Amino acid sequence: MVSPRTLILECGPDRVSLGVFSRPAQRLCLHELAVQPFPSAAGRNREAQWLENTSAALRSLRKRIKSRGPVTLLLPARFCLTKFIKLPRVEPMQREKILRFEAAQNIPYAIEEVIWDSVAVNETETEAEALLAAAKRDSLDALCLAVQLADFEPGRVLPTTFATLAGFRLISRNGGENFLGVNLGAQSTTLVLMGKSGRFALRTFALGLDENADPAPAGTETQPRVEKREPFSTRLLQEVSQSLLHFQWRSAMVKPDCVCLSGIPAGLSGLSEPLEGKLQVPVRLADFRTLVDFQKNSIGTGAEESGAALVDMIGAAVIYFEPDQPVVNLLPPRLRERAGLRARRPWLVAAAVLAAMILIPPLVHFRSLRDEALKKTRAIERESAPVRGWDRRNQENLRLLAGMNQDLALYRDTVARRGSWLRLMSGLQDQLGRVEDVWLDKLQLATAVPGEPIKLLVSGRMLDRAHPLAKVSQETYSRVKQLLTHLADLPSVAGVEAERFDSQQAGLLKFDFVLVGEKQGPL
Amino acid sequence: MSWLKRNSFLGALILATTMIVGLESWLLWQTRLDASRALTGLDQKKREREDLQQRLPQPTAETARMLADEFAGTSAKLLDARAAISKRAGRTATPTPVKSIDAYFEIARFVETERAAARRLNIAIRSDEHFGFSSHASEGPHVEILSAVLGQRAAVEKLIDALFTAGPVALIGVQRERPVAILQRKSQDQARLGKSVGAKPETHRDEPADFFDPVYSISLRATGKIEANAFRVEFSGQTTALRNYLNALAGSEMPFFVRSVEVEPLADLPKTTIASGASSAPVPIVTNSLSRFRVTIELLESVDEIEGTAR
Repeated sequence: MVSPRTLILECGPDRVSLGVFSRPAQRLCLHELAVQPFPSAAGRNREAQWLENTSAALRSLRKRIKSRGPVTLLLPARFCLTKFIKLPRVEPMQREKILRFEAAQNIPYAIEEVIWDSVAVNETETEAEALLAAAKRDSLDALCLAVQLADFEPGRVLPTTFATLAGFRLISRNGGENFLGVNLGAQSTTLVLMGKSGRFALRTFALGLDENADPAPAGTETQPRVEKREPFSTRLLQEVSQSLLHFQWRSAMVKPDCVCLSGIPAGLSGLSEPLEGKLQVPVRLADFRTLVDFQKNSIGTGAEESGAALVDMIGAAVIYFEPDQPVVNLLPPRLRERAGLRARRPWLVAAAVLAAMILIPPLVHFRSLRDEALKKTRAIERESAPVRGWDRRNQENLRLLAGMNQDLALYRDTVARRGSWLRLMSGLQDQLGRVEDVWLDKLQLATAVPGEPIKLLVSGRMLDRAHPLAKVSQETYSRVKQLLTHLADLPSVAGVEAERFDSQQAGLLKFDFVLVGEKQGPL
Repeated sequence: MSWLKRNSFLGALILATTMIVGLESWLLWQTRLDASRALTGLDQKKREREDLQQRLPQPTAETARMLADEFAGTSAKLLDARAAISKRAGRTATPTPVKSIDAYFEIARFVETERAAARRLNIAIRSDEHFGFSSHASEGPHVEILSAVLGQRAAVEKLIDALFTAGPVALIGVQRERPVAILQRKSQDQARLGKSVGAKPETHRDEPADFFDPVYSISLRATGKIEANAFRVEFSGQTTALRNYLNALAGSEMPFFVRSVEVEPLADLPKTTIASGASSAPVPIVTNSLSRFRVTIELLESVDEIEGTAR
C-alpha cells in the first residue's frame, strides 16, 4: 500500500532543510533529506539577509527535491511566541472569548498585526491550559511568499517548539517515566518536560551555540548579556535548573527520571556529563534509529546517523501523521483558505464526478429504451415486410379486378342491349296482335333528360268493330286498359304514364301514352 | 476575475463539470428524443401489423395466389367480352385509300352500286340519293378525315344492304355523325386536333343533310372504353320491314346497336281499307297507311386494352 508523503521544511538561522516523510505500516520513514546551508559570508543576524538567503536556499532545494504536495513549514523559534495560559473549564464559546482576551493581553503586538493560534493542553477536572502561539503577520507573509516563490505549497506553519515537543513525545512513548528533553539549537534551546500522566511543560530560551544570534523576539526568554560570559555548558545547566524549578512551581511537575539531548551534534558533545552531575539522572542522546526508517543516503553518517539533529523535522512529521498531537497552525488566512480548498479538492472532485455522472443512468436508460424499441421495430419489420408485399399485391390486384369487373359488366351489358329494341318492338307487336284491331300511329323519343330513363311518346287507335258507327263501348276501354297493362310488362319498360284517350270519332278510340324505360336494363 | 485567479482549480472544475453536464444533458435530450421517436416508430409498426392482420382479404401467400388466379380468369373473361365486340366488328376488308381522290372514287362506286341495288329491288330512292355522302358527290374527303369517312362508308353499305333485304317501300335518307367529332373524341390531344382538323372544312362543299347530332343520353358510348359511330336511317314501309331490318341488324357481323326507333304515319302514301259490315261498298274507317321509320344505330368499337397483368 502506498503511504502518502509529507514535506517538512525547516527554516533554520543558517540553513534550510527539507525532509520527505511517509508512514507505511505505522512507522515513520525518511525518504529524502536535503540541507541547503547559507553562504558563510552571509550576515546571519540580519532579518533581510536571512530572508534572502532562505529564498535562495528554497529555490535550490526545489531543484533537488521533486516531491510535490503541501509543505509543513517549521517556523524558527525567534519568529514565534509561545505561552501557556490557564483557563477555567467553561463552555467552548466562552473559552474562545477568554482565549481571545488572553491573547490580546499576552501578545506584545496589536492583535491585528499577528497571526495566532492555540491548543488546549494539560486538561484536568477543574482547569485546563492552552498553549498559545503567535507570530508577526508581516514576517509570516514574507516567509510564506518566499516559500511560494520557490514553488512550494505552504500547508501548515508550525512553530518549532511544537515540533520539538512532538519529537520528544515520540522518543518518550512507552517510556513510563518523567522525561526531560533538551533540544539545542543555533540560537535557542527548547526544554520539554513530560510527566507520566502525559502532562508536559515547555520552555524556549535564547541560548544557542551561535553566540552572535540576534535577540529573540518578545516572548522568547533571553539571557542577559554579560561582559564576560561563562562557558556555554555552565549557562545551559543554570537555565535547565531554573526551568525545572519553574516547571515544578507552575505546573507541579516532578523532577525528570532521565534527560534526552538532541540538536546540533557539535553542541551536544560534552553536555551529558555536566548534566548528569547536576541533575543526578541519566542523560542520553536522542536516537531515532529505532523509531524512524532512514532511507539509504538520506542522512549523514557518524554523529548525524542517530537523527538527533532531526528532532524538529521528525516531530513535525509525527504531527502530520498523528492528528492527536497538540498542534497549532500559523498559516496566514489567505494561504489557509487555499490550503483548505486544496484539502477539499478530493471532495470537490468527487462531487464534480458525481454531478457529471448523475445524468448517466437516465442516459443509459433512454439508450437501452431506444435500442430495445429499434430492435423490436426491426423484428416487426422483418415479420411485416412480406405481409405488406402480399397486401400491396392483393390490393393492386383487387383494384385491377374491380376495374376489370366493371369493364366486364359494361361490355356484357352493352352486348345484352343489342337486341333490346328488337325485343321491345316484338313485344309491342305481340301485344297489339293479342288485343286485335289496334294500331300504333306514332312512336317518338321524348326529349332526353340526363339521368332520367328513356321515354317514348306513343299514339295509336283502337277499332270498336262491334260499334263502328257509335261511340266506343266499355269493352273497348277494357281492351285498351288491358293493352296498356301488358305494355307495362314489356322488357326494358318500367311503366306506362300520361295516358290520354279520345273517343270523338265513331268506332275509334284514339289514345296517347308514354312508355317509361327502365333504369336498370335500359334500352 | 480575481476570484477565478485565486480559485483556478475550482473554476476549472466547475467549468469542466458544467461542460460535461451540459454535454450529457444534450446527449440525454438527444437520446430521449431518439427513444421517443423509436417508440413512436414501434407503435406505428405495431399498428401497421395489426392493420395488416385485419386486412381483407388476409395478406397471405395463399390469398395472393388465389387473387392472381382470379385476376387471370377475369382477364380471360374480359378478353372474351371485348372479343365479342371486336369479332362482331369484323370490319370490311376494304383497303383504306391513302389519297382523297381514291376515296372519292370508292364513295362514287358505292353510291352507284347502292342505287343499282335499289332499282333492282324496286325500292324508291331520291334520284340524287348519295346515302349520306352528298358532301363527297364531287370531291373526296379531306385527308385528315379520310379513314373516318371510309369507315362510315363501309358501315353505311352494310346498313343499306340490310335495309334493302328487309323490304322497305322507300329509302328516305341516311345520315351519319360528323367524322370530325369522332376524331376529336378518339384523339388524346383534342386541342391540337381541334385546331388542325376542326378548323378546316370537311370538304369544300359540306352538305348539312348528311349529318345529324346524336343524342348522347341514349348512346352506348363509354369514355375510354367503347367508342360509337352513330347513323340514322329513315325509310318507309310496313311494320314487317322494320322488324326484318331490326332482325338483320341484330344478326349482323358488325356490332350495330339500335339506339332508337321512331315511327310516324306517312299520310300521303297509298291507303288500305277494311270492310264495313253495314254496307257492301268499302268505307274507310281506319287508313291502313304506311309508316315512316327513323332508326338510329351505333356502330360500337372497343377502344381500351386490358390494363396490366396480375402480379
